[in-house]
Amino acid sequence: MTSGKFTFAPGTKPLTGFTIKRGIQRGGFGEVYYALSDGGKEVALKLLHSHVEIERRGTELCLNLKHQNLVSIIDIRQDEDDDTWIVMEYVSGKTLDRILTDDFPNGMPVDDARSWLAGLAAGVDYLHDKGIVHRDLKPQNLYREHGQVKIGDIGLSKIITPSQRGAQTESIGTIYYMAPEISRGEYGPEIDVYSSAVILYELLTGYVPFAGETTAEILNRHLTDQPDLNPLPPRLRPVLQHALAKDAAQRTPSLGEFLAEFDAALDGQTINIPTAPAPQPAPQPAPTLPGLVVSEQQVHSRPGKPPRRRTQVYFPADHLGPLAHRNIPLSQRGLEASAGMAAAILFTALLAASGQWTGLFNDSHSATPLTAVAYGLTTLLAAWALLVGTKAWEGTGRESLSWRRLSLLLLGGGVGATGWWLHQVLLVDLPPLAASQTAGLVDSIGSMELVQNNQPTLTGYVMFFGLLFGIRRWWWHTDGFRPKRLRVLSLLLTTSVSALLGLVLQFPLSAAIGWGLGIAIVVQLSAPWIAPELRQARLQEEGATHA
Amino acid sequence: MPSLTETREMPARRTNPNGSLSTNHDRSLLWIDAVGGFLLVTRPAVTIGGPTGADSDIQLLASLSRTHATIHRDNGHYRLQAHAPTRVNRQDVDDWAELSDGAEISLGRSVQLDFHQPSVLSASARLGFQSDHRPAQSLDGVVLVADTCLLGPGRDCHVNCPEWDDSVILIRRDRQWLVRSPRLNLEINGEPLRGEADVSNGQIVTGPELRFHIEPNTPADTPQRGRQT
Repeated sequence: MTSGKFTFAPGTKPLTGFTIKRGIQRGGFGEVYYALSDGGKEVALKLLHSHVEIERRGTELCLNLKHQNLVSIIDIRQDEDDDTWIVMEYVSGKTLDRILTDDFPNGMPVDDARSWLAGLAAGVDYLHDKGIVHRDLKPQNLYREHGQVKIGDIGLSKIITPSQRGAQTESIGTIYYMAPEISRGEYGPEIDVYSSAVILYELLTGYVPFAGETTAEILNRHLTDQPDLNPLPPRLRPVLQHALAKDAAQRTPSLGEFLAEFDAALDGQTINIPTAPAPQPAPQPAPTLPGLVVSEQQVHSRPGKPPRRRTQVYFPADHLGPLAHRNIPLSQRGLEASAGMAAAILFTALLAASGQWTGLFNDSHSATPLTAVAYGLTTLLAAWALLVGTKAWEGTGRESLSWRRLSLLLLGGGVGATGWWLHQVLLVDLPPLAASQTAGLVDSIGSMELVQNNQPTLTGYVMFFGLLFGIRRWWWHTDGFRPKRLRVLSLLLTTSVSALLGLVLQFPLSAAIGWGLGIAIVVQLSAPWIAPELRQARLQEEGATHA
Repeated sequence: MPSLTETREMPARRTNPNGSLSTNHDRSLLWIDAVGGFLLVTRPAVTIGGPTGADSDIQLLASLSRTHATIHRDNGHYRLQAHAPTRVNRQDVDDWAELSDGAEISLGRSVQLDFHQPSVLSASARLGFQSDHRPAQSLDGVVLVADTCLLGPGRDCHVNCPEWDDSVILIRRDRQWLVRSPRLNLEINGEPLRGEADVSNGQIVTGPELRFHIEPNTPADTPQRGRQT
């Protein structure tokens, strides 16, 4: 949905008897307004822009259909400029698309999905019984009002009889929900079953089964890829497999039967599904497909600014990665942060006891208990700061780099200052600067020296830890959905960054490497981690908790 | 007999439980393209009731008493006064209940509202319709405006406009609605906005990907046909 620029201003009366109050939606075949009749009746007015004849013909056929699950069409009117308007029942409330984005970004509970499917099946079966195929079923066209599912935008519908299959020459639909046979110009009622199955998949998982960065890629996937059914509850997989069959003849024949199979699967009955046929050959890129008019703009509802949920769609793996949108309760965050802090004590103690690590901090390469305590406490403080500081960002689904880096920079500065104070109190010196390191790129910040008496000053500590915190994306190291519990590459990168900082800031190199490596190890080992195979279940659980 | 226009310019008098008068200056409708319609109420004591009485500031099509409950704002804090069966956060309210951000309000048997005070910088609050009960028009929410009403994409906004690039501030001052935006280039009836401007009389505010207007909560004036330029 987009606001864009609507043709008519609020308060105008382009169609006699109706006053426009606001624009609702723009795109596709025209623009839709919320308007009041002179008597006060709420209506949705749809002004047709293009494909006027296609939609007008489709709408005329549906003008007198009555069903509780269909948005009623009240009339088709011409204005004084001969523009065509469709007067429709106004349905209040959010579209299913908006509900998914706002309330169920990782999928909704099965019972909720079932109620949407039931309404969809009743309305679409009624249309099919009248010989009409909707052709454009998608979450943006579905509403719920007074508990009733409403199917909108049936203007694309057209009469389908066996003799007219394939007669269609032009189509505009939404590519994510488009059945494979549409690319061959076939528009049987099975395409609505396929679209409904895509919608159900999205309701249960939060993302569509076939995604891609271009129209051609998505189309190719509809034609050739088998859907990944693993994220679905096991008993529902055969049902979705049946309804998403590439071959329309092999597909679930009607929405009613789709719902019956869904219910039977929930009851634990075995579903006898025909074997899926072999994938068909890949088609040519979309623009050259016969009888298909699509544009890249349909992939991105707003060019250059895809909606948040679509970001998941383009990169399906991300929904189980550190960019996943999760509803983590505050209590859970607190619990995980506490568990991470407790684990950090253990891992830091093990590390501090390791002579090889603490030896990095001592020029004689023989660590004393006091140096181990000083370096260990600073490492633990840094790890705690990172574990707690990044916990608030986990599962937000967004990654504001500048804001996060600035926050961590300040946090690191604080850790540096505390570390400096600890070393002053405990009278523990860092190893003196090597001769080769006495000429760093930076030796002062304004009038504040970074090094005095061969030891980093307070400014030196603040700069080193601040930059170490600010440069690395530590929230990836602590996220429960990070790819691996401990990534060696990540450790090497952090060590390199800390070494570089040591060289630039004249911070003793061995201490810089020791802290960079130590903090990275402790943080990654301590931060709670959820194995990939358990993440889908965790998302469902968090979604249910949130709801 | 007065003309229709004269009738509309007269404040619609109504009496609240405290005996003072409520006028249409206290209630406005905010229409936002691609977002929805919202009732803006500026009184510090806002009454909620059913359709049988004309006494309520928020008159819902629901089986409620004429004046079912009153929401009072005092120094940025909100309290609900129950005049008929009411629950807040699933607890029966005998007389008064505090309202905090996220409170769930149940009126009578079936009306469910939610209460949000999303911004610490504004004493204004938002009532959302959780059940399907709404005023005679299918509005999307009510904003109890103390001083400002924030429209925009952020969670701290009183009206969430997810597609907007940045926030717009509505300011209630001297019975006027003033509009301002820190970062967006707005136009008022096609003229560039500099600083603040009064939009109380249906002026159309446009900006990148946005358009809205405010009108008094009375029958609309007779409009003229015309395309937007």
